[in-house]
Amino acid sequence: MYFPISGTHLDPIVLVLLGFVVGVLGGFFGVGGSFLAGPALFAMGVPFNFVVGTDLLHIVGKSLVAAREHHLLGHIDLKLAAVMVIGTIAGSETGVQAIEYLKQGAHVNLVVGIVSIVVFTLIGIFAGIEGWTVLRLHRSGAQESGREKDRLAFGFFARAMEGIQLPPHVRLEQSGIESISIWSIVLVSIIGGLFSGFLGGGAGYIRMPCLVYLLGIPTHVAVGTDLFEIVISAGYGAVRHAMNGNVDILIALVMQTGAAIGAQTGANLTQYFSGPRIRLAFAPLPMLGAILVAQKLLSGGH
Amino acid sequence: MKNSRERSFTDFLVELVIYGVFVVLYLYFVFYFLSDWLKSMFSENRIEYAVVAFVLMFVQSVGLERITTGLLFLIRRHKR
Repeated sequence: MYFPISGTHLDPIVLVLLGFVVGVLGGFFGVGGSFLAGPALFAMGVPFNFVVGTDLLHIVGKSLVAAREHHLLGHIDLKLAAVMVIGTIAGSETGVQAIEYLKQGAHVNLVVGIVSIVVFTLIGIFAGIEGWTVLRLHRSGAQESGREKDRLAFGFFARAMEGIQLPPHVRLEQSGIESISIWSIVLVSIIGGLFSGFLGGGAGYIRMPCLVYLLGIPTHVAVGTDLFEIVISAGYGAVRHAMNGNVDILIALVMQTGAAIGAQTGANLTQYFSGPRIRLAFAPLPMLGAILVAQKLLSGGH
Repeated sequence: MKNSRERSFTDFLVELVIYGVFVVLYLYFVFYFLSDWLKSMFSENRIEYAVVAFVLMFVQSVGLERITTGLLFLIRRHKR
């Protein structure tokens, strides 16, 4: 089928199936799935600037619904989210401008492709090590609970971040943090926004680990607050990319129909698996995204 | 426990079939009526296009979420 906005020929059934898989990932792993959806769209022949913008728009809708549910459950730290919005928008705008700059030089596919490969590979390695470490500690009988368990594998990162004492400081009651420098929160939000604007998606794959491991936010609050930030970063990024002609709304709408039923399926699947096993199962997926991008670049797709 | 899992899997399959029919009709409607309108807006007024794209995605997401939840509820109630 011809999609006139991006000028590409795509099979709508494959798009719905891709949306379904991404939806399952969202419901099961709590991530947007852009590390897989983006490379898959690129491999199907969609130019990378359209991949980034379209994926962002597709994620906005999904995250809005999920963020609303987390808000009702009290899983969003509104004070933390408010501080993060500034950095998220600044980072997202920087990412959007970087794409526009690369479009002028006609290197957008190559540069974004290489950055994607590096980032997705690192995320896969990180998730694998973290999941494996936690599973090994559980098997050895270590008894930790709550926040300690969340920070188990990479706790030294959080302790290093807590060492940043630049004023002003803020108290996050809902996250159980007595005092934290606003600058460390802004730094994390800029990183998330930058990845979102440059690589597409909500960048939950980078923001979520940063919230848990760098800022020491409890996992359930980190998931809710991350979703709120995804709505902001992906929403802002999607509108800006649409204004710059990087969004094919028809592709996004088709994918979303699969994602809606996939999200429900993924959420139901979580009852059959434990947390560390879910994180360990997540590890190969970003690697798969990296392989798809590498395969397309090597075959002359750029 | 096994029966309950089998039941929820059957519910899911029934939901998937009904949802699939609905989605095919819906996408036909979108492509038949909105495709040209969206394409011309994309070419002529990008700000308007950005706003319409955002609103369309929001409405579809909320609508489909309500439909999937409602379908599952109706299927389970019908079985009881």
